[in-house]
Amino acid sequence: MIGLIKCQEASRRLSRQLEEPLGPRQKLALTAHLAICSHCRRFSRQVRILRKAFRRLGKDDFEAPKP
Amino acid sequence: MPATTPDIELHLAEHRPWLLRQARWRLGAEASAADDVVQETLIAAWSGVANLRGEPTRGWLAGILRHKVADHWRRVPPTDSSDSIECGGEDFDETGHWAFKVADWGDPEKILEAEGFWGILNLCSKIMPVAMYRVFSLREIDGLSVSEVCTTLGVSESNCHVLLHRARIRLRGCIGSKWGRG
Repeated sequence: MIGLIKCQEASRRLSRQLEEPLGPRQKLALTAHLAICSHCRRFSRQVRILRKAFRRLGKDDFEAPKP
Repeated sequence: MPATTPDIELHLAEHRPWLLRQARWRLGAEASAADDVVQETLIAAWSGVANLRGEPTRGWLAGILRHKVADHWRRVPPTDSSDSIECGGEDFDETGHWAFKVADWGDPEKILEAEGFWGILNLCSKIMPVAMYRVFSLREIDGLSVSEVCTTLGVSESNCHVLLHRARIRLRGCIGSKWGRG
């Protein structure tokens, strides 16, 4: 039986997933939640955009915009 | 033929604007410390250049800069460490759902090239709580693992995860609100 999760826990797992892979049960519950929640699907896309943006800043050949 | 002293001085000075931008992005709300951090970086680079084969590269300088930023963080403890971890209940309602609408940002492939995105990102990074942004900066800009971030900042692993989660929620909320796409 896979425990159902709410947005708060889903967002926590989406964040955690950027650090390390989730266990199979945790991942399954997250996938089930994402299937029904457009807000969390957007959050998932947005944290990946943030990852991409900040990693680009750390690259030696990237001309970081003037802060 | 090895580069002469004035050549190297000139070469290092040419990297200064780039180093300053790198330091400011890494420091967020503490960007006023960027000048000092870059000066320390250039002094260390100058001392180490004798052992270097070839000209100093951005990669080599960025490595020194990362150490100098970490030195700054060790010298100056964040004043808001407990606030950063404890707050955050406002993002979700009592049932665990988002307390606000998570709006669409449009095509993820295009957003990084969109006009104004980097300015907003910078503005939002500067209003992040210091303790939170330090963890985020090391993890996201420098790509350190969570355990490396924890060791560098002396933060527990569970707090690191909480801070990263909170930082992502905060940043996406700030970008959305300033871009009119909450």
